[in-house]
Amino acid sequence: MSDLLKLALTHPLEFRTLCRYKIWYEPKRDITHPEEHDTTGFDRQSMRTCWDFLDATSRSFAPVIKELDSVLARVICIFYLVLRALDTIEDDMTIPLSIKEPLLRSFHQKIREPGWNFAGSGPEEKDRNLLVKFHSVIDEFMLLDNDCKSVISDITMKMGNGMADYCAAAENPQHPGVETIQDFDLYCHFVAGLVGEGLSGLFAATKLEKPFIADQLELSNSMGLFLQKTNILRDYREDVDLGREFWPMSLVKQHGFNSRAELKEPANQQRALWVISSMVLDALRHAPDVLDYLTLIKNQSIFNFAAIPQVHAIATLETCFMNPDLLHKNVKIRKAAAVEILMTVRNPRDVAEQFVAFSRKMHAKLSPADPNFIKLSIAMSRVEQWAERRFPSLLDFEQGQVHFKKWDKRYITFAEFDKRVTDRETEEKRAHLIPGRTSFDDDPNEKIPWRFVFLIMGCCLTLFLVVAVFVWFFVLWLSNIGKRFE
Amino acid sequence: MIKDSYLVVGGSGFLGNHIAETLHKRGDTVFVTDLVQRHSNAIEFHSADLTDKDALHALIAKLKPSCVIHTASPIHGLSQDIYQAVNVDGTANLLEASRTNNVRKFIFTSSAGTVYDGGDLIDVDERCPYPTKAMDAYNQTKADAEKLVLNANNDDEGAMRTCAIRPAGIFGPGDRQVLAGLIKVVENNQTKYQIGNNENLFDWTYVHNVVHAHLLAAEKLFNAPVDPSIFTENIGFVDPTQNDIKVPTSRSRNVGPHPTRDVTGDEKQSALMYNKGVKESKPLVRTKFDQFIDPSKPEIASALKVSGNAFFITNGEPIYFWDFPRAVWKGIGHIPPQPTVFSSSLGYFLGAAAEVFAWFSGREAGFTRYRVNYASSYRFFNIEKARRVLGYEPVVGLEEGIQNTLDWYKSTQIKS
Repeated sequence: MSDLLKLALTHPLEFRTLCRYKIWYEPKRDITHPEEHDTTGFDRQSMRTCWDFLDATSRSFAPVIKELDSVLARVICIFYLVLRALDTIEDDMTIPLSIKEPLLRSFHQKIREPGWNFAGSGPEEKDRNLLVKFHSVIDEFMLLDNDCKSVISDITMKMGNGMADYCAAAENPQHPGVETIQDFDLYCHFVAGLVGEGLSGLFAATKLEKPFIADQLELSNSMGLFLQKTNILRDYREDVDLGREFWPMSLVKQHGFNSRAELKEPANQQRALWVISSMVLDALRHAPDVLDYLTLIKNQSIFNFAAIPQVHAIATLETCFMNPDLLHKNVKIRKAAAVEILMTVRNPRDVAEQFVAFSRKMHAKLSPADPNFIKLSIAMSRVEQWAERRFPSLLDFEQGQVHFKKWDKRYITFAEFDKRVTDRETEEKRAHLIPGRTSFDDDPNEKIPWRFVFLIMGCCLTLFLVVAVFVWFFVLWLSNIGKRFE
Repeated sequence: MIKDSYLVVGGSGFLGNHIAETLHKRGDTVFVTDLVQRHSNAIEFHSADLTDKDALHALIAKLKPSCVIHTASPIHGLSQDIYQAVNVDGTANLLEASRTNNVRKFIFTSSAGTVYDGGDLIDVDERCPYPTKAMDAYNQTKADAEKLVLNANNDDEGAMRTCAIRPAGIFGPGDRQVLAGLIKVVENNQTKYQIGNNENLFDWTYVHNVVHAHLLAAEKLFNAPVDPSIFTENIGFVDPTQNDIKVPTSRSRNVGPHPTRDVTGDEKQSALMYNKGVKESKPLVRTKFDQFIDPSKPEIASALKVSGNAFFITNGEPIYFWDFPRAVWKGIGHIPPQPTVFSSSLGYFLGAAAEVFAWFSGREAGFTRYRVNYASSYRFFNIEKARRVLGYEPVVGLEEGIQNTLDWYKSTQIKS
């Protein structure tokens, strides 16, 4: 409460955003509602357990997953829990490799064994309960349709095998770790890119998106890599303190360091900032793919689910860029900024606008002294170019109305080109019609609009006939009445 | 196919010399003509004046080149008469002399400035009409010359075909205009000023990429139009500087660590694909403002071939205006300080004031409204037509290009 009071005094605008969110924002659907039970499965005990697990394991994803349309909310919930369980096994340092490795490799089979669960997690493990009661997730997985099941088990198999390899390598002192950017990409592919592939597969399998999206593997991976790389950048200090080594050594060595931990020494701050900016540069590599992917999405609930984390990611990149705090503590985007994005981003144009805005903010902090000065400038300009190509600034959107900027060279170009096309088409139509003279009414040389004249005459005639009939019957009726009085 | 023999007109100039040397190195027959010989090399030089019709005829009749590359143009800042005489009348003379002497290919070095009238140029393509009022006499006469060249194109059997290359902001070893201007700013200690918000994108082109475009044009001038179906696929961004690494996917990825097992055949196959760098085909969404939204339209179909067409050529890596000068300054060892920013409207006012002062004092104004406008406007081009039709991809990236230019500059400093 005192936090909110402080925010109201120091950042009134942000306070206003949070208030608006609390007052106006309501979830798009209520999964517990009886009318929704058909698709959300909330009437089944096993599925209710799964929804509870989703709330317990993910604070940030749970609300957005529940807002997805029709069966997709339930499908993605199961997908999330399966991967969460896999991740819990991988992270658990109390499980010996001899048990862990085969378990990770066979996990895609376990999810098809009704009744299977796992009680071997360490007592400290916060998601231990998910594995202890994993049979509920299996029961629900088995109720999914075959297309969804095969996407989930395929991704689980690929990720499980990848994780098993990395776990085995971690115990091997000769293993070099993440050396190059290619190594970094591959690691991120296994832990996040595959999630992107799986999500695209499920969007298509539930028929909420066109089938081709499932086949766009590079774009889907970029969606995952952009988020993962942003998190790895942001979590520098936490990871280094826990001895987790993700930043590619080639970028670290490039700026004269021998280990990732050296970056946090205050004396090294300037060079450490250059390492951060080379990490930002690498993450920005995926920005055009992210923008491309989001323009292919048709379903609004999927769009929100996919787009909002990406905009949060570029906002986070902007916060991390040239920010020495990153070396010492957890940096985060401000809560109000996150909420603002959540409430306003609704279509690819909004996303492009936000990407451009954050690119420009980063560019304003870019120093010519940065060893990646030109490369970063180009990476940022790609976002601008992408936005100009897809949503040209010659269109001005104001309160739902579109205005053309008539002085924009592209507008002049378009108008002139369009005129040439129209002129030719009119000319062709005319040339096509004159020789046959098949219909007199379209002949532009004809002065009198015959068709119109006939139409009017026809209408008049009909009206006249109708009135005449009425009058005749009326007279008849009158004369009948007259007869009665006689 | 018979190899072409080339005549590079304006071969003593910055670009002309690069083209002639590249052709010579490639082992082609190449002649150079210009007013004076400025480069001592093994290439056969002939002195000629574009305004001298008869001499031109005689020269081309004697050398019998099959391809003429016309790069000659006077430098910026001269009088209207000179531009008219060389750019327009000279080009007409050269076209006539080439056509009558059975030259088959005529490549004209135009300029992206042909569509410039002082306003913003944002992602413009080649359909953009010539401005009703050009920026200056130079750009006006370049546009007039380009029209002459493109109208002279004749796709008939045995006739001469023409095309125009429109580079934007050429720089590179041998260039004195761009680099000299930027170095002067350092000497005047003015790198701390910035006009405008530096959010305007600007195109630059490294000279070797411009050379590459000319040679592609000569090579493909007689090619059939490209297939309209290629326009549905996304070709993405050019990447000579970024050198984008392919994104791994479950279909195409490297083999990761695997200490406890053997690599499978599928994994080997997938790694092979990944390491070839073959990128996945991605769909492309175009707007109605995009020139290739419907390439089957006759208005665009005629642009799907090289002959009779103009092509914007840039590095495909537009950057924020002030970043290019700053990169150059950094390259010569001067990291500019945090800039003092003037808004462009204040800049205009100061520019006007400086011009008035210059007029009174009789000195040349260094700071003008023209320069303020230049520094705060967008100037970047859509090069998709060149990429699709010419098959152009920049070979040298912006970063490497700046480095090469500065290396050359430093080597000339040591000599002198």
